[in-house]
Amino acid sequence: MPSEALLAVEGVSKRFGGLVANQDVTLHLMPEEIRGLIGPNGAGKTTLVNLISGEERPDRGDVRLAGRSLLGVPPFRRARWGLLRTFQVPRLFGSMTVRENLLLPYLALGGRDGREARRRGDELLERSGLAHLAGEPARHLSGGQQALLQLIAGFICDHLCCYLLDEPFAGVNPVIKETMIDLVRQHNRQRGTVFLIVSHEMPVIRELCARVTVLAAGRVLFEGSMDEAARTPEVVDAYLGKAWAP
Amino acid sequence: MVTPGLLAQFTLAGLMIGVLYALMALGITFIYGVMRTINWAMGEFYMIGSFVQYALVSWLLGPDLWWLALPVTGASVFALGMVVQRLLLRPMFVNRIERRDEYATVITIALVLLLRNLAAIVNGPYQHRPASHLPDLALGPLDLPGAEVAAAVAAVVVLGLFFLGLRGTWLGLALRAAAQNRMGAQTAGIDLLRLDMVAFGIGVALAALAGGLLAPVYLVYPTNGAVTTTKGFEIIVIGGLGSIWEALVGGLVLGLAEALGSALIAPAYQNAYGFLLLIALLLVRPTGLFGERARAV
Repeated sequence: MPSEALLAVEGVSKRFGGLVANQDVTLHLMPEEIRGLIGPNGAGKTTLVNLISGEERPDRGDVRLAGRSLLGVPPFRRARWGLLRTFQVPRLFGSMTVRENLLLPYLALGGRDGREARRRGDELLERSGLAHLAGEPARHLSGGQQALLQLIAGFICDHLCCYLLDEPFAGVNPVIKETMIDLVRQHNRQRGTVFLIVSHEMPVIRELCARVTVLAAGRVLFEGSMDEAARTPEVVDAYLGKAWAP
Repeated sequence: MVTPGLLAQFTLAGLMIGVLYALMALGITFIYGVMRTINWAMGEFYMIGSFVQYALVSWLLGPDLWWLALPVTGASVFALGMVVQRLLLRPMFVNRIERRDEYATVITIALVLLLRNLAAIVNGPYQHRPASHLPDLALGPLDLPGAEVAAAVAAVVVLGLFFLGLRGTWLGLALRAAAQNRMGAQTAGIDLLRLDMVAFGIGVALAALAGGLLAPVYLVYPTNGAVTTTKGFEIIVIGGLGSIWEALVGGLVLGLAEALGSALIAPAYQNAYGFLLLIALLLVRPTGLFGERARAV
């Protein structure tokens, strides 16, 4: 059912000099899906996210959002079309306040009502337990709090339809991690937001994602449920190891 | 003999000129902060601003409406700056040019030559001074030239509006974000190509306002931007490139140095005192007054 996919990556390849980062990668995210993207370090996961978000240009292949090709569309416009992302190292605005860090994407992505932006921002901060830090410069936040702030900066936008999370849980303490998982699930259920989550945290991926895609050496090695992945010898050899075999 | 009254007068004059220098330095810092490139043609926009202001005051509005001419000067140079940025500087962001700073240096220095020579062709070698009907201001024993007082007050108003705009508007939020983290701003959905155009326009408009306000003091002629560009960059070295406060303090320090040097040593070397200060400062603190080795804006 490729025609129904919200996000369709079709036969995408990307080389950096002699290094093949992605080779003929095809990936279809269905509406309301939360997909895990896993694989060993250097498998090309972040490159794939960069190709989808527009940070990098594919050498071959196409990326489509709701049927519309994204080739040549700059990242800011993809964001305005509802395709947002987070980074492994949060790209926040350190000397702006936590609240301003939320207002910015809301206003940049077409929101015009400053008061509404503030109301939503405060509500999100309340729900994520950052309310007491609203007036602090973002650089005063801990690493985990910054990761959380980066995540909710996407949730403030009305038309978010597809959210790419690159290692959102890395170095995040269990309490904040739980908050992040709840928020992801909530937005997925209430607004049908589609997620693509890159992570090494297998328990979280198993909890959130009905399907995972395993990348290895730039290629798609496997696609299916986490349990099937753990029973597939190639996946176990390439990445999961014996611990995850049932 | 330097009396305390005279010293006070020179100090005040130095601070007043310093505010205007700060406008210039602010323009340089602001453009660098957002675009990460230095606009070497800043003085030429100063020059254009002084000509536009002079033309408006002399032929269209009259000396009494100088305050009305000022926003017109700022707005027209803002528009000119946006066009220049769109045509000459934007290509380096679109085509992923390597060594952007070098590209910008070559382009903006070429722009210096072009604009200066165009002005020389149009204007000839003549100097102009816009008429002013503002009466001198007597402050106790001090006599302050009316045009300079008005210019300093107007510069403070411009600086104030700039700060308010940067703090309190959506555009200001976007500009601050881009200055801190260009990639992050892009990820958040900001169209950097358009924002750069606006930032460049605002930066050169600040220079043009300085030109318009300083026209009665430093006169209007095709190369009057050269000295002020130097001063703008002196301030950047004194204060450091990056923050708005540093530009402001740097401007005031330079104005004071020139005024006190003129009062205590000799007025003929007015333009040299800034450099002396600069050299002394570089010997003591090579990174500028507030400098660190690397700095986030």
